[in-house]
Amino acid sequence: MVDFPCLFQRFDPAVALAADDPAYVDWQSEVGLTDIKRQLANSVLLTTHSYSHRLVTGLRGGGKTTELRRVQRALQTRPEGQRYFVSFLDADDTLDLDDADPTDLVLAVVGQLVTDLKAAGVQVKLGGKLKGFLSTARDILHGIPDAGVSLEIGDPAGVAKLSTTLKRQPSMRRELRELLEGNLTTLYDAINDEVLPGVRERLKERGYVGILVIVDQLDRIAPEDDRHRLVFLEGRGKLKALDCHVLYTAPIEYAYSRACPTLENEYGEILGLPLIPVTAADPDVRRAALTLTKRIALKRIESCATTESELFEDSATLDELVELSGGHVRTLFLLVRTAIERSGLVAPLTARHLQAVISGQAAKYLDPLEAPERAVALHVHETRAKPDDDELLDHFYNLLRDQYVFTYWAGDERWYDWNPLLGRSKLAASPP
Amino acid sequence: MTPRAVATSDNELEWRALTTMAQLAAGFTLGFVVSDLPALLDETVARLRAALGEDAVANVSLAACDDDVDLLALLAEAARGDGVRVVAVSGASALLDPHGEHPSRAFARLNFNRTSLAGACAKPLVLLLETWALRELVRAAPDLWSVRSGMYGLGASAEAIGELVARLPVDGAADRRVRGESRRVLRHLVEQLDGVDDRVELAALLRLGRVESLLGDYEQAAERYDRVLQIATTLGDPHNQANSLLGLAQIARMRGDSQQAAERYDRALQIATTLGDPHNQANSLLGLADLAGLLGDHEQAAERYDRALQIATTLGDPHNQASSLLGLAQIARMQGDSEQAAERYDRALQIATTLGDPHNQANSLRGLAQIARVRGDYEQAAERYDRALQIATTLGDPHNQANSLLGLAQIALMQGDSEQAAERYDRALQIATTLGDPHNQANSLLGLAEIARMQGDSEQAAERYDRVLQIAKTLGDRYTEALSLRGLGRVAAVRGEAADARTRLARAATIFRQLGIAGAYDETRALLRGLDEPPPPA
Repeated sequence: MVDFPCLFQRFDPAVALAADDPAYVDWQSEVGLTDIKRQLANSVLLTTHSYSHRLVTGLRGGGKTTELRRVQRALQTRPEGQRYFVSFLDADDTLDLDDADPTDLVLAVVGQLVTDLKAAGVQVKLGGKLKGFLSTARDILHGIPDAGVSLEIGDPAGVAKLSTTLKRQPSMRRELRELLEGNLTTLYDAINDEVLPGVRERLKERGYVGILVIVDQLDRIAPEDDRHRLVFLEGRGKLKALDCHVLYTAPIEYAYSRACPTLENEYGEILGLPLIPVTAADPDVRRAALTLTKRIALKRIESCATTESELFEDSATLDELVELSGGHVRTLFLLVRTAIERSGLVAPLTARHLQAVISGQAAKYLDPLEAPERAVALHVHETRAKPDDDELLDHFYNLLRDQYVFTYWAGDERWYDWNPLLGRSKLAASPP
Repeated sequence: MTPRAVATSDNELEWRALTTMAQLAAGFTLGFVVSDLPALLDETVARLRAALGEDAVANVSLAACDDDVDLLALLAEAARGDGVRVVAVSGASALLDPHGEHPSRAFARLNFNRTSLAGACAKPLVLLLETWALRELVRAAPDLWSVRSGMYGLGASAEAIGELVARLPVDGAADRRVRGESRRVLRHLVEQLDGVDDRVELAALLRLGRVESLLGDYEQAAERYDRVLQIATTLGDPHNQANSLLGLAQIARMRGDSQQAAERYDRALQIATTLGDPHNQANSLLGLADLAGLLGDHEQAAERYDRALQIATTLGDPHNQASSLLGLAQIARMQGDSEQAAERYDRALQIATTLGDPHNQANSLRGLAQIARVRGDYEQAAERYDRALQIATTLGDPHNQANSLLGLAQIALMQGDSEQAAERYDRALQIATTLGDPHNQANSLLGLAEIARMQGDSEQAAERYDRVLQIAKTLGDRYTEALSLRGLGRVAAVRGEAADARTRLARAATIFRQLGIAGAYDETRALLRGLDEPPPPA
């Protein structure tokens, strides 16, 4: 009996797996890649005399959040005396990512850390500098009509309140930022000199050796107004100011743009999560990648007490979906979910039905692309490389951002390809 | 003609899939329903209600929302009811800038707060979008695009698309935003119709050419008209051959290629005459009259405007009546008959106002402003230019924005405010340069040259007059040629280069006389006489 409602939830492309979800497939080492979780954890564990502030990137829907949550769990659950206190900031919850600013980001990081420490029962003692900062912030807020928030000087959670205010009150954001800007150094000093040393001591008593903040979803920052540069390059001083380890997610179209060398100069090597290399030239890697991608789907199907043969008429059907996903998990889920909702909830799903779903999705997927973008997508597919021309490169980065173009690496090889769904659209049949 | 499906998708299947999604999804799920036809998007809400129950579908329209609206609160309110299973959001395209120049803050907020969006609406959310808006959304809201959980495309027959094309607002009172939307829709449809239905494609291309031309995108517009001409020739459709020739002629005229414009108007006139198509006869005559006026042949211009006026009156075509009257008014003004000019501008203004034709309203207002200026009533002139500028700005008509700015600059100059005048000439020059409109480039440079001359900067003045002279010669615009020669003559006189000054002023006077522009001729003669007079005693 196929449990369609369960399958529909388990293949929701918008929901990341929890860190302990048994449906997780640890695929990277199996295709010869260095596991990004190990790289991320090592970037923290091996930086003992300073603090690691790193950027991590990957295609949207490629599994970054899932990997970051597992890094959080891995570092938190190390043996006593080796474990890290990990604070996880969903930037989307706290910041207006369309108008993100380094000042807001630092406030959000500090606010999240203080909130998580308090939730864990770790006392956060205020020194004179933090009290001074909060007092100044309170005065600033008093001077702004309709600020709608009151800060208590004795409560370190005031920083979180301040951060929330910046998000909720877009009309007063600029003014508040300008006013706070001059006092940020006081905040860093307060956190670094007064708050963190005491917190570290108290965490040490609980077996923690350090603090890490993971800032997820910064890859959703809007590219308009040169905001990527504003946050990650111009704001690097602020992003690296805190005396604790911080991992920031970064938009893939920026991380792999011309800014890459400068960013790596500032933050160290950008850690990237590639897609599962189902388009690898090496047949062994390719075969392994297809098997692993299929395993991701099978684990979800099985978690609904359903078998592959109950859901699909024959195994080649799921194989085809796996291949068409290009190793991009969200695309795979979208295809399966679309196949379910168009099936009339009658199992098994036939090959004919799947073909109709694939053609329909391919046509809809192609539709938003205009002629120059179509030409670039085709170029990437034919050459497995970025275009050289500057103008075409702009289209390329947009296609990468919107998952029309995928990035892969395996071993020393790095390549790009189009989303295989485009290969089923009229773009493949009649190129521009 | 049997209409063929533009999109082959089965709409019933799409609606069923959408209903299934609403039934199966637990919590926030984002789906896109996309169609070229707004009517099909409206029908989607009805289909969902029929399948799920009236109260199960909350419909939020964003069409009337501005950027400050709290979208999250709107969605949360809609999703609140216990019986609500799905929230359908229509009119989201109203939050997008169809020109793609100013990404909407409101839409960006919807985009980048997807977590907040899920928090506000813990139910399936379906965005109902026109196809052009989906394209814009992918650019403006990449994250929303990346998190989509379902896409539902509703196809339409070529016949229905044809009806949509005919209804899209392009001319008349359509403002810049509306025209931008029409352009986006038409661009998409033209792509969709390629190789599917020639006649509907041709109609869409003509409308697209028209709206692109009105928005100042002459290059694109010319490509569209060229394609129409090809298709119409292949189909043996002389009416649309004439239509495309008229469009191409107008673009050639705007770009200063009078010869090509005349050739195309002539061909269009021949076709229209052969077909017995009085509407296009009038359109061709109006274009040819404009060209004759530009080249200084006022008699021929007046004769053509008169013929166009007769045809328009017989047809009961008030738009072309107003256009003919405007032309006749301009000729009367050039010939110094302000009274007759004012009377004609007034009639044109009345017709345009009754018709709701803001383009000709603006043209009439500019004409009346010119007359007020000649009469020395600068206040009234400025007020009329201002109104014309406002209309052109609302319409997104850069050519007439530049025209109005030129008028306002002239008034500022006459009132001694050379700083404001220079600022306006500069803005007009920028627009004209962007458009590739040499007439207004010349007019702006002429104004800037006058300012430089009045400020004693002979070198800059001479350089600008020279540029104007070159443009005017290329265009065959004799009036502007005479004005630049007069300016160069005055600069030469100030520099003490009397022989050069005399030559240039004499040439200018000759042209003014040939054109029958008495005031300018007299003024230039006076300057010539001034060269022969001894300097006043120290």
